[in-house]
Amino acid sequence: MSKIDAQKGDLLVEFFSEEIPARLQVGSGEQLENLFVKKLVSRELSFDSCKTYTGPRHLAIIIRDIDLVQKDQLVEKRGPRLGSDEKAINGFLKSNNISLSDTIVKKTNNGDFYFYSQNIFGKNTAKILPDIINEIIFDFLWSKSQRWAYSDLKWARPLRNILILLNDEPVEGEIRIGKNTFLNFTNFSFGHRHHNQKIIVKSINQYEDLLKNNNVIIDRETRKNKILSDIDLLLNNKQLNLKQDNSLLDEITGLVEFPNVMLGTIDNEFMSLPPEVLSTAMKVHQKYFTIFDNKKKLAPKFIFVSNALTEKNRNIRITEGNQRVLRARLSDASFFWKVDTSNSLDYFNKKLKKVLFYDGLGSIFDKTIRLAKISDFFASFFNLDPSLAKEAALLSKADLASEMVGEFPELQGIMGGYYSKINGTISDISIAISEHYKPKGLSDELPKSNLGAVKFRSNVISD
Amino acid sequence: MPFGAKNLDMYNKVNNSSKMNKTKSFQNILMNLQSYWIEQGCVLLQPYDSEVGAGTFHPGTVLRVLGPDPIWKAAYIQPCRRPTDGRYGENPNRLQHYYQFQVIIQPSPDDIQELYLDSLNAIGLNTKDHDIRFVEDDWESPTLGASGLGWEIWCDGMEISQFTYFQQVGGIEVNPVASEITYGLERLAMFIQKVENVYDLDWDGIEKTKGGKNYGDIFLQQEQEFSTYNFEKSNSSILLEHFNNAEKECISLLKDKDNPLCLPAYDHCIKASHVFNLLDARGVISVSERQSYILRVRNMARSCCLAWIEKSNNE
Repeated sequence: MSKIDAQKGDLLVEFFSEEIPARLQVGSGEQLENLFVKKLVSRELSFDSCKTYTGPRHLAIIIRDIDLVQKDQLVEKRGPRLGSDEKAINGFLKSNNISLSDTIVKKTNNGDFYFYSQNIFGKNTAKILPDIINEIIFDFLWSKSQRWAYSDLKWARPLRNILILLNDEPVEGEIRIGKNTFLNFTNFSFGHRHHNQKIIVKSINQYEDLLKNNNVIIDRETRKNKILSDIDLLLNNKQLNLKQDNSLLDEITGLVEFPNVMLGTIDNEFMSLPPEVLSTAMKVHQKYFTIFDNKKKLAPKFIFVSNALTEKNRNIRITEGNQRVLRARLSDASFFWKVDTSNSLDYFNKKLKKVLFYDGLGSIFDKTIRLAKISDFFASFFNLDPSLAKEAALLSKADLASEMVGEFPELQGIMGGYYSKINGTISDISIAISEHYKPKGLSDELPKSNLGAVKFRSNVISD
Repeated sequence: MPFGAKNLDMYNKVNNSSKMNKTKSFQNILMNLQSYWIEQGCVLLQPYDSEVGAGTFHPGTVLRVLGPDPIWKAAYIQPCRRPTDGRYGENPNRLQHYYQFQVIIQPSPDDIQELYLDSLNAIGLNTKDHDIRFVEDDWESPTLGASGLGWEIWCDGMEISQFTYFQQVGGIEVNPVASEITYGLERLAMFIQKVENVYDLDWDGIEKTKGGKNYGDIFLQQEQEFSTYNFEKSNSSILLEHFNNAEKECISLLKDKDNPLCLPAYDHCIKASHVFNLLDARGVISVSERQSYILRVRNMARSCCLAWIEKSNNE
């Protein structure tokens, strides 16, 4: 083994694009790693470890101790059968640029053949990288991707820069984006939009810190933990607690490069709305965290995570802006609440007669009638009053016609529970209505009441 | 009134007696946006003179991004009608008639995001003072058979614009890809003026006592009357006839394969689309019928797009 074979170094590749949807980022990091591993292994390039980084605009991988020169490869090519005519043999020799003395004859199960073992000398990794990157780009699968300008290449959002450093040296090369359009490899990246600066990366070991100094926390876990610890700091000593929400946390981690956690206030006039309404309006439209007080009651506060760099006046301005948007959202919700609570569940059920459930299966109202029959049947197994089960079933879908559920489909059932209570329906039925979609997914609670459980079962069957 | 953004600053210094900074009035936000995009080399178009649900419907977007000419840059304001969004003038955020400012640039420039951010600075929204975010929002218009990927743009949590890379229009690949920016002018102005009710928007920057007008002075009655019309009074059988006639006309105008009248045909496609929206607001279209109406409009749009491409290829 020559000296140079033993040489190893680190590789940094960063794809910089316009903002990638938050929900695609984690998967893209995993995919990048898998593709790199596959491409490196197939080219006899060994390495020690990989780490990927994903953020709104940066998708990067650092590969440690990769061979700087490919290992020599012995490729065995099978030629014609021993005793083939001269034309075939000469063809084989010519195509490999060899003479007969370079070949050997080997026995196989199918007879004796000419073989040629070609020793392919390993190339410098820097020379192979352009091919690898091009293959990775074109093999990369986004669940949704787009073209831009003249590109044939599809990426989740337009790809603007590719930074490559091998052993801290820039790598020459380019990728083909479309007809006559290429993107050259560079040795720079970009920091936070606030400064919008090109930053030249000279050392792979300093990559994370360099980006951090330019207000991009490139490591996803670090970013997520900063959000959580900043929330703790903010709520500390205030007798307030965060409503944990991992999916929201993950999404927000994908929406910010440099999280700036802030606390906003919900206007008192909205605090009489059901907590689920407040919480859902904040989460779905605004991506705000819900806050509880020490008695586990929803507090008139919310947490939001800004991507703007922290500065006192800017923070105040941004907080006011967010509070204003929330007021508009909650005014809408209050309006829906007012309209809905002035109507009866029977009124909603009438509207459901006009809403198609599924072609050939009638309206949603027709479905509730089937549901009622099934609930009636099941009730006896659980020692429940069949008439209660029937009535709960008949009212269970009414809220689908309400304004609130029209705006926030995730509140189905819950609103029905509230509205039926206001309508004076007996509480067992209200609870059953509000619980009958439970569990929504594997991590949700099961219905607490037996009536609710029966309704859930019936729901499954009637679908 | 001066038109250049620079002159405007001088104009405002002289007129600082008004109730607010004039550059923040609704009409000046619009003027500054227009000036900005003119400076970026856009053709300044005027609104399409027929009812549309979005600025995208303007032939200056739908048809122009198709065909052999790869370069098209245009900007225009477009009044939009969304009959179902009418609230009788009682909701502070929802209108059945509102304004979009539309920018369409083909091929999509590499620095389009920066151009957009600069446009905000040009209308007095300093992007460095705020939290600007590009949040995933893919766009689809089932009636136009159009779709694209992009974002809604948030400023301190409020959606102020829509940004789309057009991938398809009329079911046809857009090549080169065009970038579309749509500003909701009322939203944007509400943000800039820090106003919570759209009807309180300052339209002209002139004091009320001196005859200045706000959004409500100009549009409240329109919202009230059209809400009543859209939801209660429109004559469904007449509308249905309109729809059928527009469809018939659209198809017949494209019949002559040697000289299809693409633009008049598309004009009728737009009319049909608006009539469909009116019927929808009136609540006379059932869920299953809905799909077939959308499909009929989509077919019209697609035929117009195909005829347009065919004709411009032959020129």
